[in-house]
Amino acid sequence: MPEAPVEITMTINGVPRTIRTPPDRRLLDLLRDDLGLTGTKEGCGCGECGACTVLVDGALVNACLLLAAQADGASITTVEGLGTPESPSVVQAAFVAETASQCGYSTPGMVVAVTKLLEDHPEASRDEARRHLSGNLCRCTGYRQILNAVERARSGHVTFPAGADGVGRSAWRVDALDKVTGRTRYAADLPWPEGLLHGVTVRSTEVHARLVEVRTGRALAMPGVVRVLTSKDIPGETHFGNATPDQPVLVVDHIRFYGEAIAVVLAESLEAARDGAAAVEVVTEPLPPVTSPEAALADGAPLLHPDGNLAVHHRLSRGDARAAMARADVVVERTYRTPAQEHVCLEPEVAVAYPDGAGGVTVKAPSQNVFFDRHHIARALGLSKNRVRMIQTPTGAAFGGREDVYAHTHAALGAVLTGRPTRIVWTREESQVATTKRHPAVMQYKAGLSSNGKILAMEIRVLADTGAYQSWAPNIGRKMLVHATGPYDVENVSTDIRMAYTNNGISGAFRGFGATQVLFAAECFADELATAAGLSPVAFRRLNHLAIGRTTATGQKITGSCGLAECMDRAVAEAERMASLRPPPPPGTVRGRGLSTIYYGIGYGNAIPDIGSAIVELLPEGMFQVRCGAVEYGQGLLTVFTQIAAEVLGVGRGHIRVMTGDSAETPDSGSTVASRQTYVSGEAVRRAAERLRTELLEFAAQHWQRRLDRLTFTSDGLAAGGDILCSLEAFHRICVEKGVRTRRQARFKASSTRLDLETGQGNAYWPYAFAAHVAGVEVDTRTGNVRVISIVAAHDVGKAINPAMVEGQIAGGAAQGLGFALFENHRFDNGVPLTRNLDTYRIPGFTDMPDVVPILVEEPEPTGPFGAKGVGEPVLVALPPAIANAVAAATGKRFRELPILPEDVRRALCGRPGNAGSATEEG
Amino acid sequence: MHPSSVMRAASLEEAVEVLAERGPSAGVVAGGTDLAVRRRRGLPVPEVWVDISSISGPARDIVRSQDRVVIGALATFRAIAASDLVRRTLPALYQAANIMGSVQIRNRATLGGNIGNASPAGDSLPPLIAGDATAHLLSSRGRRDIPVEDLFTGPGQTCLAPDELVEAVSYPVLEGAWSGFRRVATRASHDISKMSAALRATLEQGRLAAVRVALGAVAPVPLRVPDVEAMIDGRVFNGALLDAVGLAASRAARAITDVRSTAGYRADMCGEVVVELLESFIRDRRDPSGRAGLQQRRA
Repeated sequence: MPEAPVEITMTINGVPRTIRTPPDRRLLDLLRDDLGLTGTKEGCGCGECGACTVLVDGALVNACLLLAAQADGASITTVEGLGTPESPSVVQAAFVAETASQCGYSTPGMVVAVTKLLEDHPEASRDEARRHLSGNLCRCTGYRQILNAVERARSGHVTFPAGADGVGRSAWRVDALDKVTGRTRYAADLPWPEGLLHGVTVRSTEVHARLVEVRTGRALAMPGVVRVLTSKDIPGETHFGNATPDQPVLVVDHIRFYGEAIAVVLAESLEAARDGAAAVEVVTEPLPPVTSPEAALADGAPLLHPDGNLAVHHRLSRGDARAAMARADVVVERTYRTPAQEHVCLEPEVAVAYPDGAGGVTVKAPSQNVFFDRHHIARALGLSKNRVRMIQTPTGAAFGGREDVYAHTHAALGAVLTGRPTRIVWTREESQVATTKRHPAVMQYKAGLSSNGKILAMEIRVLADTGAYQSWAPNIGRKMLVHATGPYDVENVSTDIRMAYTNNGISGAFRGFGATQVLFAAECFADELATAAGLSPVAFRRLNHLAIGRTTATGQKITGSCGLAECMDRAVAEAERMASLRPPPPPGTVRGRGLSTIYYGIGYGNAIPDIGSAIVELLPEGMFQVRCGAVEYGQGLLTVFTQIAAEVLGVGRGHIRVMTGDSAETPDSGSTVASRQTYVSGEAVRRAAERLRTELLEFAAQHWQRRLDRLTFTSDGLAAGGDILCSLEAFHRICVEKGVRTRRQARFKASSTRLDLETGQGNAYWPYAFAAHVAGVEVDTRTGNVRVISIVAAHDVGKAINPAMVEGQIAGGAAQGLGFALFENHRFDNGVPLTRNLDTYRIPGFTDMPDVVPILVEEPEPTGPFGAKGVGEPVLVALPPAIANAVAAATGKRFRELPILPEDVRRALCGRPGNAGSATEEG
Repeated sequence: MHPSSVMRAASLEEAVEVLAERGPSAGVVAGGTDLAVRRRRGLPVPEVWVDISSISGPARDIVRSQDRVVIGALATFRAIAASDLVRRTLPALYQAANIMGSVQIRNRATLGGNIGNASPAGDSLPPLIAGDATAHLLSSRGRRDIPVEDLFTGPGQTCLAPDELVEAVSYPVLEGAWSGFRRVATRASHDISKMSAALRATLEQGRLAAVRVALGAVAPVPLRVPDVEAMIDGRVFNGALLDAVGLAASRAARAITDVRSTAGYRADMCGEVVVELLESFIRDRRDPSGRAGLQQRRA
């Protein structure tokens, strides 16, 4: 047992403090839990991510690795000690001005590290800054805008004026000041209410087993343990699921993956809950594990679910692929493979549930859809939806990883059953083993070409691993089906997508949603087809690309915004220009460039009701409030809505307030997924604001007897020409007196049609985003190491509401794409996960990312707000094939499996004559 | 695993007294960058942590003492990475200290800790072995010296007695010696080595001499490779020598396949990296003004 607390003295942010603390307390816990300095975050707990970076006696330190007792006598500075939203430091201001925060979770540690960097090395170059900052990981930004902030801060004078707020301006993010000063409270940062219980999850250490019994007696006898939740405690439905309820809230009788939640121990303290969880005895009978989709579909395979192991089977057929293939002059067949990828949201899963005293519950947690979460929670609790309120907390990134409920239901269950608030915070290790991953896929491609290089036919077969449960598998399979050919007009297509249950964790939604895998295959295949046709990659694509008037594999005619050709031309030209300026490669390396072009359906597609809904209201205090059930998770939604409302209403950002993600207070606007919210909810906000403005000004015209076309709202009030008629507060008062409603709601529905089940034909999505990437790589011929030295990313976004935020999406998505291409791979050994923290599951750091060069192409989409489409996912999807094509150009070897590891490159290059010490020209 | 108590020692002498008193349940913690991770993983950690991280004085110093350089066990990687003395006398260690971990880790992690943790991938270990370093051990029973190459008995294991700690490390200053460190890792920085290597040598009348070569992360312990050294020692540098050395270094590896890399790749890299170190040495000698020996390989 721990000895008595020790007394330690520290100066924290300039204030001397004497604190009694257990001797084994980490500095991080002391700062966050005992002193309430929650600006310092926990991301990994093992010194890998840097989210907990603080200054101890002037030196950067990971607060997760240091015992508080080891800092006795030290002077400590946290992000809170550097500045406040009212008075930010130069570095904090530079982060705001350069849009250097997105989800904001890594930002406080990053701000501390940059502050120290500029103290010690004020003249550091971008590359030197990269090396110094490499102990801080960021999953959202791709580091580009953080480096811009370093350069901006160096000047010493940073301003970020209000004013430039309208559509098309790089307005600074409305949530940035709180994020850069550590003021933003994520769910784990919320104050601990009286009577709080801490929950720790008991997880399966078996891959596949029958659950015989959960013995809770020993745990319940331990000091501080209040209750142990098992499946028997679930008052409502024991199973849930996005597509189909195949997943238990807590294992009932069948364990289907390593790390699956079996019980939750609730205790008075986190330590007691942890000790209690270790004392729960789980009795099982092992079953043979099913560890590949091929094995899952083999005869006699153990069944994971009663209806068999084939979870999804989608087919598409256009024209007559077989006949056209027979007519082709050239036929090419290739197989491509992609691995499981983890989102690595730096904020691990967390939920805090508060009982309402009447049997209902409020849950605060990160989320991509509070209405789905509410649905799942209410169903498990056996409550009607209106008894459950789900409030999204500021979310430390999502990327599709928050489209499933995790701790939410467990915390709600604890709160309702005990009547006490319940807090569950997952560790990075739990997040790594128990959340969804990108579906691993094997993709067989076959194409027939005419002698001049036109694609006559394609046959595509995909087998993907959905893991233990479906999550979103049918929808992801459909996105694969639609995008599998790549952005090409192919008259004869036959596509077959199968997804199988296995015991390899769970696969689910991840930025790109199935399109990532098939577009990797399709765009590598396009280069291989170009070679077979004797054409350059550009010429081959130009010949076959979709364009206005051409038709997709689902038979959908492209009629609207299509910036594909412009994206390709501009990306290729810029990459060529950059390459011409680059000095020759160092000895022992070879270089190459690779192109990829993609299209990407925005929104749910397949006639799933795709509705944005927003309320805009003039409040008594003279502010306009936007309410929408969509959520901000770093992509910049709050700022986009602010800019759209400011543009329409004519007022400054200071007069717009945005409320999102509260199931009781905001209208359901669907999931914040599928790159859809700027398009769908942005348009709803625009419409609601337009309607409110028009109707209120019509009233004003009547009331003041002025010409309608002279009236506007301004930040100073209601104006007629140059005259202010009254303040917005006064105007609100008059509206109320005259019985004029000051609130309007509007909806916008995206159009798509249901795909035919047999043929996959229909207008799958509306609209499509287009992109072209060119990656430049330098391959070390001795080590096989691939370094990405340039990324040019051209994206047709319709209209950039906020260009800086679009560029942030592009650089951040590119970083995830680079990781997927070169090293990310959530690995299993016979179903047991091997990559359980960020020391083995590597994500790209500062020194892995070149400065992405974004190119914004704006082909206005007639149905979108100000012509906007979406950008969130295409940014990731386009890069991996560009990198693979670049490696092929550099080495002459084609790598068809991701990640492209140095081990494989080295093997392929071995024996290739003359590779040591020589360099080839760029391909 | 929770440490049940943390005692702060005012000196290393006091620390070893506590170790002797408390027996095997006690252990020292310096920067804590490895121990904190072990604790999180549920791996065995001492019950009583004897915190030596706040000890000042010689235990942190890097000094020249006659023909040796002495580095206190509590010297941080930051201090080594900033030491002009180390840069001039054992560049391999200087390079390793500069690339190990992150700024945050280097600020806390100590040389003594890197030795005590005894990871086969510990970045300071091949340079120390190649530099012919000696560990100066302290216990309540007295002091003894052991060559660093003889310290390690397995992954995470050393021949230190439970009540013993590393007080300092020293290495001889060899006039005219060159040394270099290379590692291969997934990320360009802030990573754990898939494999690493260090080489020290001199050039006497056109012949290679005083050669020491050590490999990291390719065996249960950091590995000195006498066969490879013997092949190089006394020879004139030429292409045929490089080929033979590369092959021998690859053969010397006893690597495993794990989550970071494969046995075959690690063995291959032993050859490539040792050859590259030799090439760098020769290049530096031919162009003494060049600072190639200080450049780090991106891998």
